[in-house]
Amino acid sequence: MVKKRDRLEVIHDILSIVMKHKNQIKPTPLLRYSNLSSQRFADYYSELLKKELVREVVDKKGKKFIMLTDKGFKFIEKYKLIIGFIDEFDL
Amino acid sequence: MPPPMPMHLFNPLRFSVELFYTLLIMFLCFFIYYKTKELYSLTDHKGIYYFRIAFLLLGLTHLPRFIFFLLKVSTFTQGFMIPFRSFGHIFLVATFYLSTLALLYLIYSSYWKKLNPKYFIIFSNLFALILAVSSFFYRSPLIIGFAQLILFVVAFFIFLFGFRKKKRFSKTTVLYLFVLIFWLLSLFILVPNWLIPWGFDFVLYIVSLIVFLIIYRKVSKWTK
Repeated sequence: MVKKRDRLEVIHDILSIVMKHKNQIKPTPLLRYSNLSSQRFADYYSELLKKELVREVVDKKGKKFIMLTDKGFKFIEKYKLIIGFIDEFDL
Repeated sequence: MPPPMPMHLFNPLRFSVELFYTLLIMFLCFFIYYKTKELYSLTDHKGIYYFRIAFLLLGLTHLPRFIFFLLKVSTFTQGFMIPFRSFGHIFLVATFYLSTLALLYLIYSSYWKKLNPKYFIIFSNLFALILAVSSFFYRSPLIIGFAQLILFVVAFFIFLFGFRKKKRFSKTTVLYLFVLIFWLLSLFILVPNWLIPWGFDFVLYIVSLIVFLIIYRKVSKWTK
């Protein structure tokens, strides 16, 4: 049985998808690649915006893109340390 | 002619050790709190949150403990007109309140997924308040220290065997257990020396500092 991803893992996956797409991806492909239900994706997405890990940009044609913020890049960079810390202290 | 002051009760070495120990423990605790700030701001992880609060409270609790020690020593030594029996015990109440909360938060940081935070916050504050108020009436670190010991041992084993899937002690659990034991022993040092043999308190402080240094080093490893 496939283990359910925990919250931090899902956040990391979403941010990594954005980064792999040259830090610019539309919401619909992001939903598809993230392997989440629409509702769960919406919850995570609003959390990411609220925590300023991603931001929305609208181009000249009025299309919405999602980009990582500096904090978002920092999260990806520190992810292994975060997981290591949580494991080390049984948090 | 006034009676000679009982200067023999004041031990400069003991005072220096207490001061050094307090400052160092506070520094380590606050540094752990500070070092984990970024991890928490990136993740909003509840376990990290309770871990940080536990060390903040552990750092804070050493301040009233030291003031209690200071007032006790100055009352016995200099014959100052410090109303120790009422004034000093306010710091003992603060010590018990903060330390009980700190140790409960430390245990809870590992088990926050299993127990609703609302119930935990109510329970821990109530529990800490009862112990702190009791310490005011009993006015003895010894009785409350034993009460803390019994309740923590019970809480620890309920959590360990009730909630954990892995029924074994991890390295961190052992470290937390040491933090708890050394905290309780450091409380017993505040009572007359019949309980802790002479010189043993220095050894206790050194081992306690080593435990905190190990935790600090582990934290530093993951918070580069």
